[in-house]
Amino acid sequence: MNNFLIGTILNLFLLVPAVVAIYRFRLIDKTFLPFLLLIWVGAVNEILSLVLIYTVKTNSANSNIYVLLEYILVMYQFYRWSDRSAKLYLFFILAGLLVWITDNLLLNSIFYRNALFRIFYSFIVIFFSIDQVNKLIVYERRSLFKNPVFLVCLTFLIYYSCKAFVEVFITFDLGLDEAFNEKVIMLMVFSNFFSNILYTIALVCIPPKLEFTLPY
Amino acid sequence: MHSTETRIYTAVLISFFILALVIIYFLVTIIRYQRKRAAVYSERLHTEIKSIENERLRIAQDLHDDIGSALSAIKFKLNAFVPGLQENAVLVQQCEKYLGETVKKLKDIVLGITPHVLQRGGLPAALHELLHRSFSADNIQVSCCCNIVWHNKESDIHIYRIVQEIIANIVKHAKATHVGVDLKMQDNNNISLHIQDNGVGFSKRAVLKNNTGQGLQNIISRVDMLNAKMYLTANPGKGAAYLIKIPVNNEIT
Repeated sequence: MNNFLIGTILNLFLLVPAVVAIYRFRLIDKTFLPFLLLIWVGAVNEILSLVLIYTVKTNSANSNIYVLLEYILVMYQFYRWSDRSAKLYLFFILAGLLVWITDNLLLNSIFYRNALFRIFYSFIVIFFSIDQVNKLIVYERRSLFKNPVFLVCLTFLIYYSCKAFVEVFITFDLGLDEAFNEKVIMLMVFSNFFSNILYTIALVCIPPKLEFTLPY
Repeated sequence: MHSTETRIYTAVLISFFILALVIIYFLVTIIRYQRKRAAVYSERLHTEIKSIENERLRIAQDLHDDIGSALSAIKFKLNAFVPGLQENAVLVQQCEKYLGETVKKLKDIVLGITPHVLQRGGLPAALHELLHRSFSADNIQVSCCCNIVWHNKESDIHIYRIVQEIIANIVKHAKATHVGVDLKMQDNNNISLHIQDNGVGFSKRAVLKNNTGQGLQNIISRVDMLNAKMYLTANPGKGAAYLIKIPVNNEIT
């Protein structure tokens, strides 16, 4: 079994949280709608990537478009969880859009897998996740590990930290052995698989209504 | 250094720099939230202590102005009592009148401190009386359904105060024309309290951002004491709905 097959099977595990999200759609608080859309768009992208790899031998174009959608949905989700004004999130979305256009249309081509935007938005999501996790650590009065917002933000931290590391590693092109590079990329695959498991647990934990609390 | 080694060294340096940045950001944000929490807690404590002191002052003033002056008048009348005098009957009548007024004023003061109907008639009767007292003068339709058999005196006062606070908010801010209060057993484990109005509503985001809503904080404190959970639906122009689920076998904290 080669690494590509293992990677494909593990990546397609995203279909599990996608199905759970469909099944529990009516039972989930609507504050989490951007997260549900993120899961479904991700699942569609995985299937599309598989089809394109076997037909046109590349999935770079759809992948580049998908990461932009992913970034916008994650920012919108952070906005729904937060009590800050929309201006801050609009600023980061516009900044991200600018970086995406620069990376995929100006400096490079959309048909190549470009790393600049991926590195940029990974760090943005990491910082927003740290902020949200810290807020929950300080304010949450009940069990943190049953809080779906905490679980999702923790998953974002793990996944996007790994993603940022791998993208920077690929960008630097340290001239190391091909087998070593493959192992580093497989790290990304396993972190993706682990994140999908955590997403599934978070989806099961999301209540029909979010309890209303104020800072203690 | 060899060019590959230089690249690896640069990559390691940048990684450490980014890691340091992330750790600093983590520390800065957690300290910021901790300070904000401490400030909110301190402000709440001050407000609660101030509220207790204001209540004590009000009781002291009521006792001094009403009870104190009436008892002084009775004492003055009794000092004028001389055995065998014809005017004694009038003096006794006047003392009885003052005593009657004193007892009435004392009852009013006690009612202001604690609702006696809650102790005598139970929670459903107390809620009906509260709604009648709050909305009888206004042109507001009230629908109240309280059909529970519930015996927990410790929880009763908290539930009563929660309803009282919500009703006070509706009277002060909502400009509603209809209010619904529904208190029922949801299943064997929970009591459900649902209060809804069709008023102007408010923005939850604005309340959270500006840390306003002292009334809401009081409600949440009581909800926490009951180990209950509160779900609030409110939007500007769309009224507000409070749903509180209270566990039946709760321990008051």
